[in-house]
Amino acid sequence: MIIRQGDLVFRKIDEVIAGKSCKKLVVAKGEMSGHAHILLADISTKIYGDKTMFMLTGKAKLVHPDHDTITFSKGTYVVVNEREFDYAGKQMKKVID
Amino acid sequence: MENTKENRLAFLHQQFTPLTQGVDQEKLLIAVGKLNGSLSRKRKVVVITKGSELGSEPGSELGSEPGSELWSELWSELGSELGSELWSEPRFKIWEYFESIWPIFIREFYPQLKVIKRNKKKIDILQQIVEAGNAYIWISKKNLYVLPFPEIHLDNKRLHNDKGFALKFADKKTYWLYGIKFDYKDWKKVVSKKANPKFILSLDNIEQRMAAIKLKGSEWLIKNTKAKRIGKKSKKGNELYLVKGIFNQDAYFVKYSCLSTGRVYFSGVAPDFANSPEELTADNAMAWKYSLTLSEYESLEIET
Repeated sequence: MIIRQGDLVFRKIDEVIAGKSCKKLVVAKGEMSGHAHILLADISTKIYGDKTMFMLTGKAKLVHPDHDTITFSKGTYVVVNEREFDYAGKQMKKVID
Repeated sequence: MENTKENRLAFLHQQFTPLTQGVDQEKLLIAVGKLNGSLSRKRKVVVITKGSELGSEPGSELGSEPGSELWSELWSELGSELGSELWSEPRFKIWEYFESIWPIFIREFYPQLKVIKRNKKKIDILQQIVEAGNAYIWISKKNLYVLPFPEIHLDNKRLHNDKGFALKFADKKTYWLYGIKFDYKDWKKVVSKKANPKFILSLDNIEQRMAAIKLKGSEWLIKNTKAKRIGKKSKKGNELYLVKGIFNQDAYFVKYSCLSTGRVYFSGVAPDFANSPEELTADNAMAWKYSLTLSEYESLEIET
């Protein structure tokens, strides 16, 4: 399963993440706008991991001021940032927004 | 006014209106003088014209003292009587949120509160301050600060001005296009009639690039870079362009729209993103941008 919200893509994978859990995870934040992609766990859901890869024990919502909210199901997701090629700097880079 | 959600929002908008119509200095100073007279002891009135003027007062005093008079009474009584009900609603629906408006708002819809009755005179004066075009008042031990309402230029409720600053607060000016902030130097280059398309395509921040292209127009950019479209627009609405003679090498850019906002972006893709001429397509370029295969990109389950 692959999901896109703006400049982020989420790829579902078979992994288990342990450690500390949380109910809210800021996955990415725009530098100029300050707008953030924020993952909010449902009441019974826990989030493990970080902004590069996270595991949900149930449903969670991904919110962003400019995009429609996406509901994620239980599972582990890898976060992939949109990239681009900077022809002035002759290098590939993560999209900065 | 009946205490309904619609009325509450309308009232806040109505209170905001005089603030956008400039400050009547004479009326403001008279009202501020009255406010000063209604406090337990008089302060020196300081009208802030430079950001540095506020910095001379210890932050702790600024933060604590105002609360000792009207504000803290208001917040605490409201908190106990209304809980979080009030704050969950208008504050987040209307971005025009200013201190002096709140006591007036509360008086309109919650006149039964004791604190409202006790502070009738002060709230009347705050109403006069708002009507004079000012919403920010801070009271410290020594001074009563009056902060001029920021001068703003908006486009569709976003900060925007291609003729000058979009936001001026005291002596600090900032420059914005379609809600995106720019350094003055970059803003100046973008709004110039002689704007350089290479400069715009090279803006590091994709949102700044989007705003600059929106100002100039996609057609202007395509014409001035002599960009040639490769193939047709894809079903997803993406277009691939080849730009020659602008950079040190041939450059591929994909033009695409945000599905949620409709904003149009131009973004560079690696010169070797395609393995064969057949793969020189806009959707292949988009797939490269998200590190996906073409079939993964075409079959994205959810896209917003």
